[in-house]
Amino acid sequence: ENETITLRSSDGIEFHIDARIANRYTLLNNWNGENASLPNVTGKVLEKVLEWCEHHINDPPLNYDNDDSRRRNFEIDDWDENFINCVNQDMLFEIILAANYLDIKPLLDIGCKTVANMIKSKSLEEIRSTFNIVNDFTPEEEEAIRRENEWADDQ
Amino acid sequence: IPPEIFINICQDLPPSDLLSLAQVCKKFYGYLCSINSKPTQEIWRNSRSQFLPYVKMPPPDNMDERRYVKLLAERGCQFCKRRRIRRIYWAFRVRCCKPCLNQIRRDLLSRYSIPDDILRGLTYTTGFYKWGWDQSPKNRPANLYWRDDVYQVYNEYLKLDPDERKDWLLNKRKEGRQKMEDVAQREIEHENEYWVKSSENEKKREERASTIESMIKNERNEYGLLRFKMPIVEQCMVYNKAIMSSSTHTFTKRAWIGLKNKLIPEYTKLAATHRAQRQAAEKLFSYDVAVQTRQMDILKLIFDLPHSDSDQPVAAAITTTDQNQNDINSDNITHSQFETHLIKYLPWCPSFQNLPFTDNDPRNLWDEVYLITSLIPQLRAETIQLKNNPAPPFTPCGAFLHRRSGNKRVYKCKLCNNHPERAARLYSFYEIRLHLIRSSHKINVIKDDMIEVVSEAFDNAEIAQEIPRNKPEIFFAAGFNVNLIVNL
Repeated sequence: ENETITLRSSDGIEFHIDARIANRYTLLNNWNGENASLPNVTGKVLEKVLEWCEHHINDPPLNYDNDDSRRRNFEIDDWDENFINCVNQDMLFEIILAANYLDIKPLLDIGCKTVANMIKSKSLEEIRSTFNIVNDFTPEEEEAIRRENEWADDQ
Repeated sequence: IPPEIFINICQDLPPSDLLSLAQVCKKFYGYLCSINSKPTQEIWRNSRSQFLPYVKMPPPDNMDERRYVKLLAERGCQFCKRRRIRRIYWAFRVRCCKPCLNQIRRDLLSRYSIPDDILRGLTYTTGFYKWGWDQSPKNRPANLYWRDDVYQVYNEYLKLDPDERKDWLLNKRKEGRQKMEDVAQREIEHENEYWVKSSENEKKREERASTIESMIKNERNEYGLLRFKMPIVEQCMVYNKAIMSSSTHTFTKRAWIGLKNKLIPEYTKLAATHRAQRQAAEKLFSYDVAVQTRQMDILKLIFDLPHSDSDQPVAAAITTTDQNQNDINSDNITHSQFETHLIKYLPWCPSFQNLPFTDNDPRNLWDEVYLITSLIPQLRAETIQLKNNPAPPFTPCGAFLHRRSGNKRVYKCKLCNNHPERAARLYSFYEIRLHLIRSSHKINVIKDDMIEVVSEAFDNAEIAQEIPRNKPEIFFAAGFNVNLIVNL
């Protein structure tokens, strides 16, 4: 029951986790072993991801078959909201990447939904400044896109 | 961000945000605007089915999901940029206003004469009959085509080998019929959506209006009185504008503060006008009518004051018995309260019978602040005094208030002393009051000394035949002199 497995982050930090967590997420299980380390995930990020896994250890088993219904019926609960609001933007993207990499779908969904909420109802410029995205269109391209957005170019 | 995560994020975004996202940078533009990429089409399709659920039909031929969503979700004329246009002409796959449409589509009955047959493969809208009184086939409604379509198809036709033309025309005819069926279906879908949306919006507007109304109705001033009187509010431009607003947003606290700030000056002005009008009209009242009107003013104000739930309704307190209510601890009561169960003592309060009128004239309206801060507390104190120190049972006041004799025939008319046959008659309190105003006595203002209480009759008293049936009658039966003003 209380079996533990060991994960090592890319920067060499070891985490001993409940085997049940690993069992829930198939990919984590693959990393168990003497010298297994996760090449893409740093200790700081892995700590956060595991904190999330720990809290959701008793969740009902996931249904991976129906991707659509999973997304539709899904709401971010208070704990998750608090969890995700406590990290900065860089960490948020790191967590999303890690969740994607480790195939922890619910966490990935929470992360993506959070980002989507950050985008919602924002103007172009607001999106750029929120995410530090540089506008790499040339003025001509920009003009072309704007025209395309205004004109019916069906014909 | 790797593409799969970008896609995941986009799944939660409505079309409008996707459209702005596509313009953020080259990378996003690439993700969202690649016509031939399956994931790109998937993103838009998802967004459409999630946020535009009424659109069930897939995009028309040769239109990618993104353009389809743009056509559906954006607003405004695509040509002249006129705002808020949402009409889509599916025959031409454009969203535009009527003037632009008329400029751009082509009327076959105009000076260009291209034979109908060539245009059979095109989609069109129908114009009006050119001559309303002549609906013969010759003058059938014009089919209106997209001008560029016409040129294009005409050029195509001209390039054909003459032998091919017949087959080409036949094919075009078939193609056109199919296309028009598709167009008709889209028009219907769009139309349905439009009606559903507008009835939803209508509902939202109604909800908004009723929120505004209830907020106005629940607003109270520093004395706990209703801040606004609806008949006056209903005449305010600010209020009517707010109620008729086309906005479908829910009415927030902040919006309410804004509205209130605009409403108060207009309301105050109107209320002052109303008061002046009323004052002018009441200047003409006779003395007794004016006195009764002032007494009603006080009653109305008392009913408008907030009261706690433990209070009994006044009608029940009059017709049923006086329940042993605990005396209210007067220390805790602010000057703007008047318990309902005390109202029945009001007709016998000295200050109510001899009201302190402004400038000693009952025709003058009172200042509301004076009523609330001074007169009403005074009256309340007097009612408590009456309650705690019952009048002797041989007086009408004592008999009515403290011996629960409201509907017992224990009262005699003192004014009938000259008529021996009538003098002995017993009445209930309501009946004797009716008698005094209706009979030959023609009393305007009933006073206690016109009524005699027959204490001996109490034990075997008859029950009243006449009972009050409506609000003025109930008040009258309770000792309030409202007989002169019931019709006002």
